[in-house]
Amino acid sequence: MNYKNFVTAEEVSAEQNNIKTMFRFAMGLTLLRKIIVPTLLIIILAAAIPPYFLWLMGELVACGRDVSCEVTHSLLSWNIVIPATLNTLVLLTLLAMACRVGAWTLFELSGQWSTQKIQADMMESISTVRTTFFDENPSGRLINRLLGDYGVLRLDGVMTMGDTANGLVEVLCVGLLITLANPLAGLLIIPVVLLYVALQLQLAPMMSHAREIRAVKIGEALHRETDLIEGRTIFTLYNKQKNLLERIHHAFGDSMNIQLFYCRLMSWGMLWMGLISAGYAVVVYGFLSYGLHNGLITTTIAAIVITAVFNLNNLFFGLAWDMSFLGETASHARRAFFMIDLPHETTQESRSRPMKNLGNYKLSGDICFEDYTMSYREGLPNILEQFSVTIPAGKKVGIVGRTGAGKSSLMQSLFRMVYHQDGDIKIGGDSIFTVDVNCVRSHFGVVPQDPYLFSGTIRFNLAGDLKDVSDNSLKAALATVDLNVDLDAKVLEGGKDYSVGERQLLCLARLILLDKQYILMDEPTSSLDRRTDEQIQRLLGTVLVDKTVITIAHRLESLEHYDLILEMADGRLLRQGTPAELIPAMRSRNVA
Amino acid sequence: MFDLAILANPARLKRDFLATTEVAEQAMPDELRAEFNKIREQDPELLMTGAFWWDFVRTYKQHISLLVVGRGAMILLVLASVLASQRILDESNTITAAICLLVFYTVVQLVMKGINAWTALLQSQLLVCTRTFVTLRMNVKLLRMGQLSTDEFTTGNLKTLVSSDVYRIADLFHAVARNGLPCLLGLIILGPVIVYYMGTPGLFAMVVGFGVMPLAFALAKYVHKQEMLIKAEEDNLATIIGEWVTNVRLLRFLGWEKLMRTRVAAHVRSLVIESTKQHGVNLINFGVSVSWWLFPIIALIWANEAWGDNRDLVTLFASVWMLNHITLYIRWLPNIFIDYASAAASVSRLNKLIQHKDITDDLLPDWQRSVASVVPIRVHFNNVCYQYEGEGNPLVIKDLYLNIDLNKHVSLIGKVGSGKSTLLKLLCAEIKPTSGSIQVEFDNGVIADMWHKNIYHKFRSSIGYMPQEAYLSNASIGTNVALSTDQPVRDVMHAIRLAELEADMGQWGAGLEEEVGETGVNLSGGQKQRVSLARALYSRRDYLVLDDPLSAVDTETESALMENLLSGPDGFLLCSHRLSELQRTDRLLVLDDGRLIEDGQPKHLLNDPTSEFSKQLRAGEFEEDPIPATLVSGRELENEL
Repeated sequence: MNYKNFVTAEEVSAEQNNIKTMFRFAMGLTLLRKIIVPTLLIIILAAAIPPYFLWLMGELVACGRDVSCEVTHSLLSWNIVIPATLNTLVLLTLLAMACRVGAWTLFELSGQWSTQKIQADMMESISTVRTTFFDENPSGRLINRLLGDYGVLRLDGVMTMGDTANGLVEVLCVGLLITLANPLAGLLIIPVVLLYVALQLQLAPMMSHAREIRAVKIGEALHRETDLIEGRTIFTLYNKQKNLLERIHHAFGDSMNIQLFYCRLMSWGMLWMGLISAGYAVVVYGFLSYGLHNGLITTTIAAIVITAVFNLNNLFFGLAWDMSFLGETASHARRAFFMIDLPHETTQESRSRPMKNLGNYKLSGDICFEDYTMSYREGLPNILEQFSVTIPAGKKVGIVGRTGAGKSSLMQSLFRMVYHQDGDIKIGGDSIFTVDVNCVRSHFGVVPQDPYLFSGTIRFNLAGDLKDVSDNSLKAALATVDLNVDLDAKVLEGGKDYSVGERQLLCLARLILLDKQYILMDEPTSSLDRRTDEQIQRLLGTVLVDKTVITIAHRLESLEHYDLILEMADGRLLRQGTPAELIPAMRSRNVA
Repeated sequence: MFDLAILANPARLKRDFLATTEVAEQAMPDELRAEFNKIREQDPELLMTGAFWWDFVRTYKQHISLLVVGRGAMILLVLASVLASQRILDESNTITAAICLLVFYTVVQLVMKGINAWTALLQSQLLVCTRTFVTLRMNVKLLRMGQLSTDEFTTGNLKTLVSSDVYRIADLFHAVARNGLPCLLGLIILGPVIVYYMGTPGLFAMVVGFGVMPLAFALAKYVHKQEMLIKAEEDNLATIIGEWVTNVRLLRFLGWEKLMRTRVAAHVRSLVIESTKQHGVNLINFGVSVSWWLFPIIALIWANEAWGDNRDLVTLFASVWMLNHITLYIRWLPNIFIDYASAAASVSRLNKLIQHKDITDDLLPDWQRSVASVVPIRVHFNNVCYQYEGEGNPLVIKDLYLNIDLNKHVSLIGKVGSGKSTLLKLLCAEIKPTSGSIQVEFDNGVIADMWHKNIYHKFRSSIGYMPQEAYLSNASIGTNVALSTDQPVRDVMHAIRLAELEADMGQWGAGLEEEVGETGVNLSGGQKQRVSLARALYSRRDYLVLDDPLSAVDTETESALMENLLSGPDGFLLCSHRLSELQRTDRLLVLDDGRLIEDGQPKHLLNDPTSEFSKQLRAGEFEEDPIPATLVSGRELENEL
């Protein structure tokens, strides 16, 4: 069967890589690697006890309660004598329980603890991947990768591996029991297992593919439900309720249908696997009948084997189930590894250059763009082209221009967050591309356009991980911007419990605290808060007086005290000059 | 029933599977499709009467009874095979008997596997039915409700309702069908046989078998409790990581990646700790219950010996095996209770939703005269107040008197929180005033309350409303504009042209077929709003109510848009933060703290230096779009799941 007709080449190769992926995943489980031997021993013990229990029980019942019965095991040169009593059975049962719990606990622990590393690796990769990656991927999907896939690996990844191992050992133990009764019947389990593997090879890829389609369809159905929840008033107003319901029900019907199909696959597997094991059971019974007839085996053994074979079907199906999830685990692991293997953002810079210094190289002086050309990603149109300008050190420079003029790109270029194609950016003569990227970034302080605060405390938002900053200096920074908040006050996601103005002031306070040589400010477009404006103007003349300040401006009036204004258009420098030269002309052009 | 043949026919299954791209349409068995359509077409009123559980049982009585029959038959077959095995062991001396029994046993085994697969299919169909039943009921209801102002049904809550609550209810049904039913039937059918075979020891062994329940139940309860802690920790993590991936540039500006990594790692660690605790207990639960089947056997042997009547080995094994068949399911029973607890909460949420009033419940009876052939020309606000539902919420609109001519171009300005959006919603009859009345005047002189049923529908059908937050469906541009998939291209293009989206269409490779992505992620903020505007224009309504259509567009687009609106045939009420273009409207309203503070021609207000309008306009502003417009969409990676 060629199910590969409708999966992409990429998916096929990914499936072929499942074993490789699982191997990489297993190798990453450091804790499991350390305890693999005891874990396997415990699994074998846990699986072997139930058949052994049945055997002992048979001995016990066959002996009758008056005879004290002993079972002798020969192991190498030792003879171990085990009394077949009720006490032994109870002990065995407890031991079986302990082994089960023990084995699972070991798997669980190694799953939970060792997969933390995978999560941490993903986060590390995320923190160095090119920023445009985040524009191309909806945040929901990324969160799903970083948490959802990790969650599956954490909870199910190792457990599925453990369960599969467990199931295999259990089948082996039952096989062993049957072999004890009749070696030929025992040998027959080999073709049965082969048949089963052949079936599994057909079923597993179909199951995992159906699961993927199901996920997609359920996603679509949820999109339509979202339409209903968010758009129902709109649909009602325009009298399109029927269209909406039709679409929802269509998507929902599809998702339920694939679910049904998936269940059908499962029933199908259940049927054929059941038939294989039933066929095998019948054969075993035949051997038993023959053996009983000829007095080759005792009734005890026959009864034990029958009881054990009754369960064979469940064992097979359980194993099949676990194995089909192994493929699932592999696909989650693959996605996690995809995240981990994302290239570092600096690989998008067209030329690698000799690194001047990896550590704390100090950049200072004028910022020069020299024929600098960049786009947001390889293959996209250039935003800045052959761009050259010098931003003198210690001066206040305003940048103006319409949407798409390249102002934000300029700022991101300084942070090396774009696709650098040609030319150079130098600070005091040192190309920023020859210095460690984090070191370059550490030279700049930023006031973002959207003063976003992270959930946590004011202290966190001010100082981040600066452990050596005293409360006094934090308070002093807040006082400088005239903001009166408690350091440990709680901040909700985005800082929505603070006004935009307060958030901006907090960003300014952070700027003062960090004391950077270069300041980049992106003015908010439509904040009506004059207080912030005044604070910024005041700070420019006091705390920030000797710093290089680059402001992306949206209001002409805030530029009046600047040293230099750059007007940009279409990724080029249109003109530059002092406020006195440029502002009047711009005012007449832009504001009615 | 339900396409049993497919199970025996792997070739057909494979063929279906090969067509998986269309499997969603193709593979649904006719019977189920019919079932699906039946619910879909049923009068929603009928779906919503009576208690939830009862409704469900009544609707799916056929499935449920078939399932009971199937499961019962399987247990009877178990009984038959046990008896047969017993005979193999008893009468092994005659080879003919053994062969006969083997043949019988083979047949039983085959039939049993067939029934097993079939009941599994039935179960999954029941699962699908449950989800369908719940979802369809909910969808119909959601569409009939108006704006929801209570905290109880936020968008997030509703999403939880359609995603997880539906699954919880379905899971319960599934758990009952899968484990509860066989256990119960086993007890009813096999229980008496065991007691008959073994006497009191048999009863004793069964009691021991169920003895695991209290322990397992207590443990399952702990696991459930721990679940809440884990959920909270996961939410925390999702928040932090969400903040990270949506503010990645800001984080790099600040150089805070390492800090965030430490933060995430700390939360991951505490998640792992809570989760390990939960799983530890779960594992004990699981380990106990999977090994517990050995205890009833010990109990049986012990009681058999201790209480006299020694049964023979064969009888004992037969009983052991039947006992096994019951205890196999016992371990899952506590989970059913837990499933029930969470499903009951889901059902009560669902019921609350279904009992919520419909928008039509707010309507007054039909106005005495027909309004079929008249046209609304004016709206009167008489002493209107509005307050969001709930104790202690402030008045958003206060004692408002206002007449709006529906053929004029009116603009509305005001600070954030001054009640602009609320005023617009009141005008569109999206929400009903808390006190006071809003009346509609028609061209034949009739003035009547907007909330009379016939007037409400008449008036609403003449209004195009563009809300402040553009709603976008994860579909194509064309579908988003027309709100339907079969849109006349010319009309859509006309609306797109008027909404100044034509230039943007150049960027989109697929034109009208361009997918906007989840919540319009592939579009910029301004484009989203203009799609929303195009939707209002496409509907060709007589009057437009536009909530901030200009906020994220550049100056040139802004004036072009304004030009299109002003030269169009419709009157409008437009609210905006962008003031310069508003001078061209007929009338300007300034709202402050829910009250109208200025009202007049923009020119007059502009010339009055004390007016709020002129003050704000003088502040002037430069335009900026925060998102680089050149970024490509996220569609390249869309297909890679």
